[in-house]
Amino acid sequence: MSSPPILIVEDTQSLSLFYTATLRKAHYEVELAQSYAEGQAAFGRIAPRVVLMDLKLPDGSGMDLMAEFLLKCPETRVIVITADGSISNAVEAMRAGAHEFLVKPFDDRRLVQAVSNALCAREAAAHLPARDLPATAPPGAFIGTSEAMRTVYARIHSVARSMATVFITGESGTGKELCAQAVHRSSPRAKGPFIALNCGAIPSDLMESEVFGHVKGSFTGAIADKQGAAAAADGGTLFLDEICEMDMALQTKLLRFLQTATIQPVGATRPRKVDVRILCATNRDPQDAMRAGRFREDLYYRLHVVPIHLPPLRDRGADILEIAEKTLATYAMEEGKTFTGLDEEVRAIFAQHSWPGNVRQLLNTIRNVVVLNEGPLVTRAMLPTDLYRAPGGNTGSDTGTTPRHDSQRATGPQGPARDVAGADHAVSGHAASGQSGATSGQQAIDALTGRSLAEVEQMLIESTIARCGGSVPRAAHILDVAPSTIYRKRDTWAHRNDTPPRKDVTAAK
Amino acid sequence: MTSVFSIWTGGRDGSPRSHLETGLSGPSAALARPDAAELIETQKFNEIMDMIGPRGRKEFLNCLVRDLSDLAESLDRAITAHDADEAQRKTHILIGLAGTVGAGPLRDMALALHRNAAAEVARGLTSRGAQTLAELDRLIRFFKGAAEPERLA
Repeated sequence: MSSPPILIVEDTQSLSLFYTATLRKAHYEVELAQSYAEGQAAFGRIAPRVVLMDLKLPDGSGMDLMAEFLLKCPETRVIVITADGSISNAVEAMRAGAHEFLVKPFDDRRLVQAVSNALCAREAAAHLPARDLPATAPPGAFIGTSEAMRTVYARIHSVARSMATVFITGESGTGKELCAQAVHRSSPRAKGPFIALNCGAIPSDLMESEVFGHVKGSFTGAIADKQGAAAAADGGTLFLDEICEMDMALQTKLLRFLQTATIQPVGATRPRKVDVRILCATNRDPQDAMRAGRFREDLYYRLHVVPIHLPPLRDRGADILEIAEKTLATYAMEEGKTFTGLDEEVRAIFAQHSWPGNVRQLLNTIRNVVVLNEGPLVTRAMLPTDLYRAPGGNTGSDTGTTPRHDSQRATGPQGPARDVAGADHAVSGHAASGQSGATSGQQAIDALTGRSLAEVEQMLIESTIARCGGSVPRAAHILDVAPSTIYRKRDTWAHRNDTPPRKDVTAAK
Repeated sequence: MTSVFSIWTGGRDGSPRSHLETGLSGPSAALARPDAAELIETQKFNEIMDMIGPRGRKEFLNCLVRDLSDLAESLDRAITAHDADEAQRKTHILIGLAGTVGAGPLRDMALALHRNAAAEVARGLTSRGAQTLAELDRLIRFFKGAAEPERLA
């Protein structure tokens, strides 16, 4: 079917026979090599589009051979085979440019699928428009050209073409979902779906169904077949955000999914193959989670193939002002305002602020300024007070979600959904004011007195979320409730106010 | 699906009989050969045999016996010499090979030995090594029988 043949470099003869038989049955032509030297010769002779190779060869290192292949022909897709227990080698190979790795033992279907995916990826890459921009240019919707971000962009560009799992880390609000989208859009799967799932947002008992789907009648409430996120992402990318929040039982199933590339919806009798690239993210330290026994070690090594760490905004230097000004222009246009820029004082405040809520906090601040004020320049008076009151701005109450001027505190008939500014002020105002705990605590309570319990609850929840940089799971932890409780309540508030539910932490720009 | 075992342990009337019905668990073979069900996932192995096809089966099985025998020999040497690096290299191959043909118990033993070798736990290496070699020997005898059906006649 395909020409040139698939090159198999494997020195164990019975295994190479198995791989050959499997691929020939799927109508692929195959060329065999049993050593480093044979692999070199065969590569030069047949110029394969896909190479299937073991990393341990009798006369040399498979890693070196792969590097040679990729140097001669960077478009070659190399599928690395390794044994369970040697995954770290495979991970290293992925970082060095392998397209995918298969852990022995794998069945014939998995092998055929991997080869088919590699060929498709190569074809798709050949049809991608040539990239005129340098590899360190901002991909997707990223803004900023700081050194820290140029490293991130280069990593995104280089990893996009492979099937490697990308593990994105970074504080809340640094743009982890944006990074995942950029990887997807720069990849040969760009035309496929991008499905994002927040593992911390879904109750553990529903998570399996959300990821793998279910069949009608498989449990109480399963009134119709449901396609899970993994099936919805078939041919594209599945982004699992807050992966460290995933239930341990589901982690086992996710591992199985990664090993076999099959899904079995809840209640289904047969598994189904899917072709999905996995990207995941967390704002925690995954190794801490692993050491604490909350995250499976084998799953960690499966997922942690190509790490990308997004730096906090405070480490991005001039990016802060670039993001602020570009966003100001965008929001001003959206809101029909005449803002043209930041005045010098605001530029200095922005540059010195620690931005604990990162880019999301900056964007929320700009949005608030634009909505509540008129241009042409953003001045200090338009900013939330604690953005400039505390040197360095690291007050602990500084979320930037709302300005904190008394004149801007929402009062009156708007209702609680529009009164979060007041709540935030009431709950966290003492930190900014520097008053003693008892006095400021009393003031905070005074500010809430007269409101209904439901209003106060909403204020407290929204304020806590804001103080957690927009992270619902972190807020839930502080409030000692399940994240799902908060999501449910927010949905209710959104419906009550006839506004769409606010997007959670993953929506950072 | 045609069972590979039915090919080489076919009934006298020509009707296919499964391995578990006849061959290795039969009175004469029981002493010589281990029980298949303890060694491999028969369904998986039969699927592989079906995929390889009747013409390639004998070659594949002979190849398996050769590879496994080579591995047994070199693994034995590595364990005796407390050569953790070599043991690791050989168990790497054994994990893949055993797993591919559905020899789950051997794969698990090889994996444990591989991890021990990686950690260079000499004592564990020896005891696990002996266990793995014994299982490897059972599997080799099993595949030898599978490759030479006439010995059952």
